[in-house]
Amino acid sequence: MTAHGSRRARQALVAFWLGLVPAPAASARDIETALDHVRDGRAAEAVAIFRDLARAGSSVAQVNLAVMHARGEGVPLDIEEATYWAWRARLMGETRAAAPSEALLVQLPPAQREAVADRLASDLELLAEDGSFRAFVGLGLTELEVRRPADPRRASLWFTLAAAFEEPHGFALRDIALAELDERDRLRVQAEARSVFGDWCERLPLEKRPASCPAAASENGN
Amino acid sequence: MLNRLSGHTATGAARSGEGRAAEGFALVGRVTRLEDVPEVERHLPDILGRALARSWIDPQFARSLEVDPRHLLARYNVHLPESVDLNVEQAGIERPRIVVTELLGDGRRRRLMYLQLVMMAGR
Repeated sequence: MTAHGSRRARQALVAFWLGLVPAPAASARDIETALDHVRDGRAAEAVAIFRDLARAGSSVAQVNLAVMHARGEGVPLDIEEATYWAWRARLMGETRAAAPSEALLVQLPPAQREAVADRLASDLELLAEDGSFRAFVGLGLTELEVRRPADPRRASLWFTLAAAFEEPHGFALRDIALAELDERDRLRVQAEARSVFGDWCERLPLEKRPASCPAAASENGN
Repeated sequence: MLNRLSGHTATGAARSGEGRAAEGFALVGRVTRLEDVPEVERHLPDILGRALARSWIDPQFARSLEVDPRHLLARYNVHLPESVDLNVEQAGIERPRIVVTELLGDGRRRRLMYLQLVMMAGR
C-alpha cells in the first residue's frame, strides 16, 4: 500500500469507526426529562441531569451536555468544556457528536486543544482500566484527531493494545497506523506495546483480563 | 420510499480540505454532486443529519438551515439535482422539519424524506 493509499485507508477507517459504532443505551427516561426541561426553559435542571448521566457514561447525555456548554444555557458559555464532552461522546461511538466535535475543536487555540487532548487521554485511560477496550481505540484517535501535532506513534501504540485486547477495529487501525510509520518507529512501537501489555493486564479488572495476559498479572489479581 | 431522518447516521469526519468551509468545518470530504434521486436517497440523510448536529451548537448555522437548506448545502459543497427540492415546513406541526421532494414528470411532487429540526440529541 502506498503512503497516500494508506493514509486514505486510515481516514476511511477512522471515519467508519467514529461514525458507525452504536452508542451505549442511556437512561432514556432521564434524557427525555432533561429534553423537556430544555424545551420548558429550565436549562439549569437539564444540565444537572445531562451532567450526571454524562459522568456515568451516557454518550447521548455527553453530546447534549456539550451542546449546553456551547450555547451557554444553564452553564456559562465554555467552548473548551463543550469540546471535551463532544469528543468524549464521539470517541465512545455517538455518531451525532461528529459534527459538533469537529466544529468546536477548530475554535480552540492550541493550548486549549492540548488541554482537551490531555483530559480525554486521562479519562479514557481510566475507562480502559475499567475494562472498556473501546477506550484504547479512543485513546489512539485522541492522539490522531485531537492532539496537534498528531502523534501517530503513540496512536499506533494504543491501536496495538486495542488489537491485543481484541477490540474490533483495533486490528485494522493498528495495521494502517503502523504502516504509516517508518521501520524504526514501527519496531519501537511493537517493543513498547510488548512492554506495556503486561502493565495493562495488571490494571484491568480480573474478569476482563484475557488468557494471554502474563501469569503474574492473573496471580496478582487473585 | 419515505425516510424519516433523525441525524443518527451522520458520516464520520471529513478530512479533505477541498469541501471545507471557511471556518474549518466540512459537511462532506469533497465537492459532492448528487446526480439523481437514488444518490440523494443514499447520501442526503447522512449529510442532513450532520448539518442538523452542527446546528445544535451554532445559531447562525441553524438559522441558515431553517431559512434556505439548499443554499446552505451548496455553500458547504453539496449540490442537489434540480428535480429535488428542500422545503421547511413549520405550520401545524410541533417542530419545523425539512421536507425533501422530487419533482415528477407530471408536475406532482413525491416526498423522499424529511428531517425534524430537533434542538439536540434524543435518546
